[in-house]
Formats: sequence, C-alpha cells, structure tokens
Amino acid sequence: MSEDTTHGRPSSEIATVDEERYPVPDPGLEPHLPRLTDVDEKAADRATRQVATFFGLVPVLSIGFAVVYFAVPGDAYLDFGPLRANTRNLLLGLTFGLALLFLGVGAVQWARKLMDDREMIDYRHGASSSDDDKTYMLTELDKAADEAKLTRRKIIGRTLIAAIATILLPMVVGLADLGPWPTKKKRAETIERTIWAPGVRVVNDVTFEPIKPENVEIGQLVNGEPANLQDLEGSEYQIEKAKAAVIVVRMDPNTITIPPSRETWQIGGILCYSKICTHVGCPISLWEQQTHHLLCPCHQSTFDLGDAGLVVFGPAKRALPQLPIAVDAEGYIVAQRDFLVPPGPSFFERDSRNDFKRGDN
Amino acid sequence: MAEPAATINDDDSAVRAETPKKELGPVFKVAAGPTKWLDDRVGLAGLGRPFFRKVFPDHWSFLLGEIALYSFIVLLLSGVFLTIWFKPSMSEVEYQGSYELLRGITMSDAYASTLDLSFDIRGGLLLRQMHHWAAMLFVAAMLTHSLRIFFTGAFRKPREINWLIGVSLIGLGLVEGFAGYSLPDDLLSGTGLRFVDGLIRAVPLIGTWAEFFVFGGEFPGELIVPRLYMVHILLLPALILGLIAAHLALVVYHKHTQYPGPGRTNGNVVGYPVFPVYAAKAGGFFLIVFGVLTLMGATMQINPVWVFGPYNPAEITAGSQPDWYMGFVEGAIRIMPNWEWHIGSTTWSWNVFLPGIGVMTLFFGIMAIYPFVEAWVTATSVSITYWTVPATTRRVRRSALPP
Amino acid sequence: MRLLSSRRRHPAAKALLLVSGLFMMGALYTVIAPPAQVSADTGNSQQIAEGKALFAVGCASCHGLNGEGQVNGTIQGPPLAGVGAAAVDFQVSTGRMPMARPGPQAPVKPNLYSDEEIAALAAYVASLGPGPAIPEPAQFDTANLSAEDLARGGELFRTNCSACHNFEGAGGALPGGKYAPPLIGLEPERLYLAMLTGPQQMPVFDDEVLTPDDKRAIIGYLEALHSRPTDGGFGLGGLGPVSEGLWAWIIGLGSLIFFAMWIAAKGAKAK
Repeated sequence: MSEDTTHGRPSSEIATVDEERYPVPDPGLEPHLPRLTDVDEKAADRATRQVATFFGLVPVLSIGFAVVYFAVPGDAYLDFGPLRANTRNLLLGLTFGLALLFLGVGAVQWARKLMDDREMIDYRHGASSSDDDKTYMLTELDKAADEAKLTRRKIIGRTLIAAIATILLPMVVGLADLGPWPTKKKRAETIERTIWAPGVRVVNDVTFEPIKPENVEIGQLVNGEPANLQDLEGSEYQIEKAKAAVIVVRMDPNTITIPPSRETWQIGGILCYSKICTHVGCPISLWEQQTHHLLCPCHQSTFDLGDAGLVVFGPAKRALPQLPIAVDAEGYIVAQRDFLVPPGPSFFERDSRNDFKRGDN
Repeated sequence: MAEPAATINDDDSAVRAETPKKELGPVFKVAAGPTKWLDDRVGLAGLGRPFFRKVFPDHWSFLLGEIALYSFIVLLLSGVFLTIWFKPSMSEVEYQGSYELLRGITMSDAYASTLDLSFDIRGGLLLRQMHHWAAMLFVAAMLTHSLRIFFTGAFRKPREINWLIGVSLIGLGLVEGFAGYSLPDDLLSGTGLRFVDGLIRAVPLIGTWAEFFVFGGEFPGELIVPRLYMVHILLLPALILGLIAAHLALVVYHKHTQYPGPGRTNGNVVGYPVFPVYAAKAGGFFLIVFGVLTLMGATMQINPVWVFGPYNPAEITAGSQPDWYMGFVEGAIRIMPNWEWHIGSTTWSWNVFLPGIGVMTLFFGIMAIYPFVEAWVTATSVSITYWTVPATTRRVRRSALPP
Repeated sequence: MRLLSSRRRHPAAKALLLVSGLFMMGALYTVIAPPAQVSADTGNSQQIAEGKALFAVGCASCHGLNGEGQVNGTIQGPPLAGVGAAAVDFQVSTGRMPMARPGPQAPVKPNLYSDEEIAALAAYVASLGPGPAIPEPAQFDTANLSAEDLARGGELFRTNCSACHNFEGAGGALPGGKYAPPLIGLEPERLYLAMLTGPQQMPVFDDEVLTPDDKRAIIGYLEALHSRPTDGGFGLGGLGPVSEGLWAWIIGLGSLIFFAMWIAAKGAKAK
C-alpha cells in the first residue's frame, strides 16, 4: 500500500452523493465542544487523580495475588450467603481480575477525560487498484509470460499442470493409516459383533455380581454387563462396553406383548435389552416402571420394552435389540448367544432387515 | 461551517518529520538509541507512518468485534497455561489426587490431569474456568458482531471477503470449542463425542470409513483425545489466527465503516487517531475484557467435570446437552422425524444425517452467500454499488440538531 | 409430712395411693424405658387392625378396601399386595400418599400421619402380601464410609441413578408431566426406601442385586457431594452447559457491552 493512497485527497473513484436519496445537504462536522475537563482545571485534576488511583491500585492487587497464591490453603472454603466456594480460587481471581480491570479502566478514563478528543478526518480510497497499477501489471505480465517462453513451448505448461495436480497424491495417500479400513471382514469383527456369547453371565455393572431370576422383582431394573468384560482392560474394555452394555427389566407378563419368536428369549417376564440407543448411541437407563417406556436423555427417543423394544417416540428408527437370555445350571441369568443385529447407531453398510419391526412375529 | 481540528492530507505542516522543538522527556531519551537501531534494520518509521495516526470512528457497536478478538487472546494465554499440565492421553490411571469422591477410581490420564489442574495446581481451576468462559464469550461476541455487520450493511462491496472470513471464523470457533470441551474426557463431553460418533457413522456411503479414520477404529478407542488435542492447540488456532490477521488487515485496508452523520460521507472516515486515543481505549478494553473474564472465572463455576465423573460408555446424565452454541444442531436432531431407508443390505439414516450435517451446511451456507444474493437481487434498483449506507440506520447526531 | 400421716386411715387413702402408685409407675416407665421402636410388627394383630381402620379412611377410595387396587384403563390406585411395609413408610412419610388428586405423579406434601399411624398402616399393607420390610438404621448409616467407599458409591450413582436424577441429583424430567425429583437434602432413610421400593415410575433396586452396602455407598456419596461447597464459585443451578451459556451472554457479554458503551460515550460537555 503506497503512501499516496493511504491518506490524501478524496478519491475520484468513490461515488458521489445521490441527491435524490440524501436530500439534506451535509452540514459538515459539528463544532468541537470542549469537555468539562478541557476547561475546568479542577475537573481535569480530579480525572487525573482517578486515573492515577486506578493505576496505583494495580500493584497492590498484583502483590495480593502473590500473597494469596502462597498463603491460602487449597481446602479453605468461603461461606458467604449464597456463595460457598473455594477461597483460594475466589481470591486469586478477584485480585488478578480487579488488577486487570483497573488497569484497563484507568487507561480508558485517561483517553475519555484527558486525551485530546478533537475528531480527525481521513480520506477513503477505492478498494480497487489505480489504473496506472493495473496497466503496469498487465503489461509486465505479458512480458513475463513472453520471457518464460511458455506460449511457444506449450507442452511445458500442460505437463506442469499434470505435475502439480498429482504431487498432492502422496500427501493424501499418506493419511490412509488414520484408522483400520472398515471392510466387510473388519466390520464383522468390530461393529457388527459384541462379546456376548452363549453362556456368558449377565452381571450387575460396577459390582460384577451375577444375577438370579428370583432376585429380580417386577418393576426392577438392572444395569448389566457381560461377565467376560472383566477380562478386558483399557481401551478394549471401553470399546466392548460401549456395545455390550445391557439393561435387564422385569415386567408382569400379563401386561406386555411378547412376540411368538421371542417367547424363549425371556424368563417369566424378565427381558434383557441392549442399553445403547439405536439413534446415535447414548446409553439409556431411564425406565418408567409402569409405562414400560425407556427414554433416552440425549434426543428423547423412547422405546417400549413391553413391546419388543419398538420406538414409540423420537428420532430413532430401529427397535432396541433384545438379548436372548436363559438360566444356567447354577441358576444365574446367562445370554443364549450374541445379539442377532448389531447394537448401537446405524451405519451405511448395516443390514437392517433383521431388526424387529411393528407387525413382525 | 465548522472546520475539523486536523486533516490528514498532503499539507503536512502537522506531520512534518522534523525534530519537534520541545524538550524530550526521559522515556523518549532512553528509547532513542534502540529505536534508531531497529529503524536502521527494518525501517520502523516507514512501517509506522501509515498506521500511527490512522483514524477509527467511535461507536460502542464497533467494539463487539474487539470483544471477540480479545477473548481469543485470553483463550491463547490461558490455553498455554493449561497445556503445561494437561495430559492428552486416554491411558488408564487410578486417581490418587485430592478430590476424595473419585479416589481410587479408574479414569483416563486426560481426566486425571484435568482434576489435578482443578484441585492440586494453584490457579488451575481459575485458569480452566477463565478459558471456558472466554470460549463462551468468543462465540457469543462473534455472533453479536456479525449481527451488527449484517444490520449495518457492512458486508457489502468491497467487504464481502471479510464477511466470508468472519463466517469461517464462527464455524472454526464452534469446532474449536467442541474439541476443547471434549478434551477432559468427562461423562458429559464423552456423551457428546458418542453423539458425534453416531453422526459421522450415519453419513451415507462413507460413514463407517470416516468414523474409523477419525477415531482410529471403534468408539471410543484411545486416539480421539490426542487427536482432538492436536486440532485444538495446533491446527485450528493456526487457522483462526491466520484468518483473524487477514480479517484485520482488510479492515485496515478498507478503513472502518461509520454511521452516517454530519460531516461523514462515503468518502471519508471521521474519528480519533490510533495514537494516543485508540491505543488507550482499545488497549484498555482488552484489559477490561481480560479482567471481566478473570472475575467470571473467580466467581462463577463452569464445567465442573469432577461432578460429572470420568467418561464411561454405559453411564449418562439426565439433561445431557452440548455447549450452547451447538444447540441449533442438537435441537434439529431432536425434532427430526425418524426417517431411515433400509434398502437391501444398506441403511440410509436421514434422521441423523439431515439435521446433523444438513443444518450446519444450511446455516453457514446461507450466511456465506447472503451478500452475493443481496447484491444480485438489488443490483438493478440501487445506483451506488461502492458503499451504501442502509437507509434504516441513518440517524443524525444529537449534537448536530438545533439546540 | 404430718398432713399426710395424720390422714392415713382416711377412707379415700387406699384409692388415692393406688392412683398415685400407678401414676408414678407410668412416669418412671416413660423416663427409663427404651425409645419406642415404632416398627411395623406384622405379627401384632392389634397394629394390623389399627392399620386397616386407617387404610379404610385414607387409602381405600383409590386402593380398594382390601388393597386390591382399581384398574380402570388408567391405574387409579395400584394393588398393594407385595409392596411391603417399606413402600408405605416411604409414600406416607413423604406425604406423597394419600394423593390429594389424581395426576401423573404424586408430589411431596406435608405428612399428616404420626409415626405410629404410619407403622400401623405399614403393618396392615405388609399383611396383604410379603414385600420389602423397613430397613434397619444400620443399613443406611453412612458414618464410617471410607473415601474409596464414597467413590464407589459415586460410580454406582452414575451407573444407576444419574440417568433420571442428573449427575448431581438435581432431578430430571420424564414424559407426560412426570419427573425424577431432586435428591438434595434428603434423609438417608428416604433415599434407601426409594431405591428399595421403586415408587411410581422409579424402577425397583432389590437388595439382592443392589446390596445394602451398595445403597449405603450411594447415599454416602450424595451426602458428601451435597455438603461440598461449589469449588468454582456460584453453582449457577448445576443444570449444565446451556444455562452456563445463558450466564455468559447475560453477565459476560452484557457487562462488556456496558463497558463498550461507556468507552464510546461522549461524556460531559463544558456547555
């Protein structure tokens, strides 16, 4: 940006005033009115004192910060009316915050009250470059193109374009190991299966205690996990838990609809469903004992566990997958097999034909 | 007709580069040597000349963009502090810090280091809270600023590029905020990540691939927090800083817009010079923003991750919600009818894809193309295309009215 | 003393002595005897009969004279066989029952029954069918829980309870006008009874699956959590990020806009 166009004369490129649209003639800048502090020496002194006080408090507060930092213990609490807070955090913030605020307020007060406030005018310029510049550039561009001998030896230009386009390929290919490739085989090993298997006990989450049917009453909810989850650790544990978490509920068989194909999946009204919402995967524990509705807190998809887990409200489309359960030799609840459909949110390659739909058997 | 006190023009009797006649103060005397040293190497005076007395108009609504800028600076400063202690790792550790209600619980290193920052590092909680409040303010200020730009027509030619930069900054700010609050790996933000996992997965054709590439495999895996950390402290701040620099450069080049008033025309800017008035006002405002954010961090609790608990894919809280600026996507996905196509062995989840990706594209798309649509629609009826003052915002200053 | 001894052969002396003796025995018993265990002793038929009488007055209009319940499309009053003494203790002592009017959920209101009456009602309802008994105080005594116990209680809380009651126990919404109430400031016994009996829409958490120790840990966690100060300052309701955003706009942006207006204001003029 050269000096001439930054300040300077009013530019001829700028549109002049449209008379029809602005019928009132420009009265020009209003006369400068002096402020109180410009004429009254006492007011100016007062303002000066204000600014100096604000600035003067800053070192006090800054040192206060250091004192609080070293002197106040971390477990001290301030109980003051509605505020019950950590003293150190509060005082560190108050000292530092007020120090910053006073410094800023002092500077602004100085500008407002004491600094010269006569307005200045600067002239605008058109955003586009001058005709001179444009002509120069175009001529020189021509010359440069000639000097590059590009126009005669066109093949250089063409191969250059091909080269630039493809030099990016290594950079893109280099990202291919960002994650494992979800091929059909990989999907079958990962998102289409869980660690549930025939005979795996259903255990209470957190305590990992197995469950007997006689200890599950009508209206009871158990947040469950597969017993073999305990064998896993770290990232594997979290990944499998995010797919295998279940809820076990017991309802009065007379008040629910059990489809004929699922008669053998339950134990006297005890049913086991996947805990993971089929919408975008939040775990659901909000079960209404009397209506049998399971409500996901994320987007309010509601599943009727007394009706094969079908969706009764909300943005989820597919019913909640049900885990077939039975009782093992020692009397504990076990899974009969893995889920028949992949639990959790949908994905493009998911075969959703086997999910339970309204009217299904 | 009244005359302005000074006009910056070629008659530079006021700005002659001569040594002034009055006695120099001690600060100037000391600074003279180093200043000359620098000037001999980078041409300081030449660099400073165009900007030193540049004029900026004065109105409170012009300070909204500054709030966004200053809160971003606070984010950078507080963020650096936090990176000194935060551990972006999902490896399991057993917590043994001073927050007793989580003693002995297995959690990720990221969560444990966030607890350490909150309870065992002095000033850590303050900085964490300042950082989060500044993020809230950053997005809120950007939106308010863009409303000011919209309603005063400051997006029109020649400022369309700056408008596009601004829209990009809002989008990047949203993503940056999401990445940031997902770093502690707590129950609430982990649930949000689960939602994003489902969202990515539901994209037709490429969803599973995108999911596996983003998470490095299945959800949650052990890579998402370190990857979001890179995005949050390196990639996005670099992009945002670059765009902010371009944004400010364009404002300087085009000069700031101004409200209509006596003496103010299409061809001038009336206001105060950078030195001394604006340096003091803007610098002071930066400190005020910084101070207000610090006071908020001291007195208002935000994102108490220790109460949420560490992320566990089988746990959730009632009232799960994202940070407020994601609310429009969250709401869209809640009210979407449950449209999903099951075609052969494929599943097309419109109920997730349309509100998720679609609403965001719609929002930013409409914002981005608006200046061009407006120019196209109004081209035939408006004669001034350079810089028009919208008729609705015309007002005459009180001081210009007859007494 | 001569006043009394000179009248020792008075005709009324024997009767008066008997009455004062009885009075003194009663007073002595009241002072020395252990505090009355107001328990629903289901074997005590006297208590059951009292309970039945109270039931007929306060509960039978919805639950039927024998607690058989009324199901007319919507459940007016569910059958009470099997709900146990614990359910009665919870519902009546919190004032939820008797409900003042039908509705989606029974709200807490002042309880008008004395402890003895509640015990009688509980004994009667327990006699209708076996159900959970009122827990012993030791089961919900959180005095000697270690930090690890409390932390485990937190894990159990976040797995079983926060989905309805929120991470802090601040409560949550259910469809159709129902709600999961806030858990702040509630006595341990009440929390235990609710978990044990599963009132209204709340599921049951049987003692065999969520053991008394587990329940005690959960109660201890809630007590410890709620007695903690809000470390970061004002708690802003504990409702999550959206309300925090509201405060960012109101206090953050609001105060800064006030500052901005001050910075750009023209200020006092000399004229």
